[in-house]
Amino acid sequence: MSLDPRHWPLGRRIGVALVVAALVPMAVLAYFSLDAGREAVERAQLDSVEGSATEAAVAVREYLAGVSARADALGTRPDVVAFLDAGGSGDAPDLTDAASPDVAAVGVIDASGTTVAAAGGASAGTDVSGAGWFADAVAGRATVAPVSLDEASGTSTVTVAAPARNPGSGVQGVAAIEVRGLDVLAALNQVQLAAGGQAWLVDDAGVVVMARDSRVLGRTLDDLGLGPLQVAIDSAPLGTLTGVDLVDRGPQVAAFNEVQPGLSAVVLQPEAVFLGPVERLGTITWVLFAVVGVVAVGVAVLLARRLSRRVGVLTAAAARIEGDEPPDADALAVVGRSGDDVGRLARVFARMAEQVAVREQRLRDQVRSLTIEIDEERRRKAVSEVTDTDFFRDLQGRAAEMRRRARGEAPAGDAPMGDASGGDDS
Amino acid sequence: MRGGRRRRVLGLVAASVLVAVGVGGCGGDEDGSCPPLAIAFLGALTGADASTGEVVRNSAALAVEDHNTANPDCEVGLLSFDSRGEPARAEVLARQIIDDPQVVGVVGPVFSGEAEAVLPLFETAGLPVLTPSATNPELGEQGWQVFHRLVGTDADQGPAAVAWIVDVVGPERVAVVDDGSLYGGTLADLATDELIRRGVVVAPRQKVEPGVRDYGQAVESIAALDVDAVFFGGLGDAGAQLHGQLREGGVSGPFVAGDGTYTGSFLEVVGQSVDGGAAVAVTCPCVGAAATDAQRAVADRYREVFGAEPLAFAFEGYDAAAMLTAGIDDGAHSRAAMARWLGDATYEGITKTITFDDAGEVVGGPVFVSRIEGGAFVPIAQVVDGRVVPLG
Repeated sequence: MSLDPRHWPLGRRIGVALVVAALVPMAVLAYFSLDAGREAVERAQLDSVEGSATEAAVAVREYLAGVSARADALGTRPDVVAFLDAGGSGDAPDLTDAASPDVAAVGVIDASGTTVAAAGGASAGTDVSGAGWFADAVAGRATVAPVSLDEASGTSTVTVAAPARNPGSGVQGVAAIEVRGLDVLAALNQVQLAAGGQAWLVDDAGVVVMARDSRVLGRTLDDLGLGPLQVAIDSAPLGTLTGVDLVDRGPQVAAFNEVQPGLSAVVLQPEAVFLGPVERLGTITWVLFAVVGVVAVGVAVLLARRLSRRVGVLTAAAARIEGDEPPDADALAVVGRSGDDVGRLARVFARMAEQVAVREQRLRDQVRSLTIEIDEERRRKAVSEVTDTDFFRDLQGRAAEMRRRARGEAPAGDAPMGDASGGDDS
Repeated sequence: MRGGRRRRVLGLVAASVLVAVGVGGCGGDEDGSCPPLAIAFLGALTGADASTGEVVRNSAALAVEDHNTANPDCEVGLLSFDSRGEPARAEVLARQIIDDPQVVGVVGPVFSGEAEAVLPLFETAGLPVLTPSATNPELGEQGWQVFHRLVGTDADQGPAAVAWIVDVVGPERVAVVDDGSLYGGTLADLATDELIRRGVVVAPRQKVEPGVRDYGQAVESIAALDVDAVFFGGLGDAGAQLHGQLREGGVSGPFVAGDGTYTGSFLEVVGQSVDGGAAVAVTCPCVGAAATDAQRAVADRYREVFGAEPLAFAFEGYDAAAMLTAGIDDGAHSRAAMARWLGDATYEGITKTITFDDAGEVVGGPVFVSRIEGGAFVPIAQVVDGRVVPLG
């Protein structure tokens, strides 16, 4: 098959033109529509993941703020302040009320850093003067300590401390509440996650300090293949990132938001899920495109073949006429049934062929009659050319003489030589 | 031309078969590869009734850690999902678990109510479940293929508690109270039926609502009936409150309860006023206190790692996670393969040799009765086939 369209049959040309005219614009349209759709869905999904990270951060922040309020309430309780004012002597305040199910330990600490009253997992007499949260709280600033993760058990705690003092007076000690990481994690996981999504808390060193998955706890983002995420968290309090590759989980979309300085909520969502709607849209579009393409090609091939076949009938008919043979009237009649241009052409062609045949027959008849006349004349002329000769007359005379002799009649001088009637002799 | 086309078609078919076989091989059950897999814990980790869930989760974490230490090149993850004991929340979490393709088995749900809510979801997803602590007998009667239970049910526990009451207390009249939960109500019903069967008069059922701190009305009714013992079907927090208020209300007979009260929170509150004797008895189809070397080893590690006592269902929680990791090691790398493996396996756990019947119920397992002594639950008897056998 020639690749030069100028050498293509008409049917193929029309077929290819149909396919190109149908598919190329559709492909271009599909490509740009998909591109725009992908961009819109990606943006929406990124916004959604970022929203989840923000929601998670806010939930943890609010939970810790609640614990901070409890620590503040404990630190301003008259019996606690009085106890501290008395130098930790007398009846220790009852801290049972502060020990709700989420609390791992409660402590009242004097200004030197010694725990003077405790409940839950805390013990009186413990020295916490070296703790950063104590330094902050005893300086008058309520504070939330960094998450403390016990890697052996995978459990974590968060200590929230508030200065203990009478309102408007100097700090006399610290009230501290240590909450279980499980409760912080519960706050973090209030966020609605898409299929396969995860929510983590990550500290300022990039260590995952809270997560549902035991395999990621205590590991750095770098270890987990999420180095770019660590860089992003270090550079901004809020953001999103695509294409980060989590170990054993594959490409993820990540969003993060700061809970407090040094602690960020991170939400991860598998990219496959994230881009699922776009991929599905793309698949549907290209499948439709393929179906329409196949249909278009099929229709074009059918049309081209039909056109080629009908034109072929006309061509064959013309060739037969050229070869002085009658065209296939039945085939022409079939083509001529159609009301389109080719059908009209076939009908005209058939009539033309009939006319040509009639005229040809007439001419043949005329030629035949002329030929007969010419032949008669030619025969007459040939006969006369023979009979008008002296030799023929001589032969006729001799023949008559011979006949007379045969009948016993007089010799030839008595009868004329020209009596040559008697067809048998001529 | 026809022959060429036929060869191409055959080639495509052969290639498709090879691809299909190849794909099937990737998801095969018995291959030696080590895909990233995980088991999920589902139960209460926060809230008033988190004690049991925390114990199960922690012991499951120990089992997973033991597995990962022994198989550093083929570690299994443990994903912890905190239901707070709320069925509606458990449903949301169950969907998240199902959506995670790495999860091939679930340790939990911890409570019967949440189990009833989520098991239809897990059944649809074909995700095998091993509950070490949900004891409602109806869970095993639903025909769920994914359901497996490592302990006896309330159908064993209620009659066992009554056997102990009848054997030790010899009562004429017993009050039965429940906390309105599926677990508590079922257990109370079973105990009531058994009490009646044994000819004990049962006082009108009283109900208490968890979260409501004043049970004065129920206490007054019980006190007015002069009962010899109180049976409570419900969870630890409400049980502890009821026990305290009954004593304040002058009801002094033994307080007997099911495994829902075999918790740290119950022990912490009730242990302040009870030390030995028959004042409080708690039944449990679980092992409870360590009795074998394997159990003691796990208990010691539990104390070391978590700084707490391994209470009810700790050993069953360990067995549930250890059994799932054993299945993974044995090539059960998909949910379907894990379900088949659990159905066929005979596993030597630290609590017992574990095999499941067709309903997913563990075969065998007595009910233990414990009292509170020295701030701890101490097993004093086990009930086998309705007979109370004192321990020690």
